[in-house]
Amino acid sequence: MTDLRRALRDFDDVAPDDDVFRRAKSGPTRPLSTGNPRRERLIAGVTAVAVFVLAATFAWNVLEQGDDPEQPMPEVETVEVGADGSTLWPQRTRAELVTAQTRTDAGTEGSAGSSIP
Amino acid sequence: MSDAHNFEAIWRREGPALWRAILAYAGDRRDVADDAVAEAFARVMERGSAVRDPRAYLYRVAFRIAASELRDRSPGLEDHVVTHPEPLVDLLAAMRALSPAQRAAVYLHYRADLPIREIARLLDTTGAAVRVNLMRGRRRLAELLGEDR
Repeated sequence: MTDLRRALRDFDDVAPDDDVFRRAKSGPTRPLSTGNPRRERLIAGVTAVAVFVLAATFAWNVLEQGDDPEQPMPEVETVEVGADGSTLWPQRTRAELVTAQTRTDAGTEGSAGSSIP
Repeated sequence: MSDAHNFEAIWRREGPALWRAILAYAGDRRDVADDAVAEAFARVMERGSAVRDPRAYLYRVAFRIAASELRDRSPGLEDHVVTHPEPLVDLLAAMRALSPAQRAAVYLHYRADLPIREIARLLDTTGAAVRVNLMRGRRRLAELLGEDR
């Protein structure tokens, strides 16, 4: 270390020109930086983390929806209605109506008023 | 004006030392040293008493400007290299083999006698980074100069 310190003392043989300070008195020649570079790096890092979290959340939601098979659309049952818009009693679904009609046609079904379990 | 903000006095006291530090950092590039130091002094004079610690401000700004210029300017502008006495030539040739951060750490620690923490503050980096650069710079210089340093 001693040799290095001694060697670096040779730098003392060089000096700046007075022109350097004269230039300084003319004022700055370039725009000032807006702030502390460490603070700017911190802001950039926090922003990057936030963007990553948002993207990861979005991707997770998309993947999670893909895990469940798409639920089949519930079967929409149509109901025959009478002229006044009321449903035919006691049948409540088209399937029940078809069954009741089939039985009626076969003679095994009573009047329309008979109930079907 | 307080002595702390008498910039003529600050130039006489700190200017040459700062310029040499930047020259070492810039790998013997006089143009970079001149520009960085002139700009640093211009800014501190413009801000005046708003700067609490002119010396620290000068070093931070000068090193930041020099780093920017080293990134922007192409290397090998030999006409801007200072002509030196013989002993310094070998040392500077060896220092040019170091990275700018290593050169700064070595010079500021072994010539300016600054502690690690102060060097980190002036270079706007961490103490750990300064220690690593110092160790690597010292080792590399020892290899290049062939001496037990």
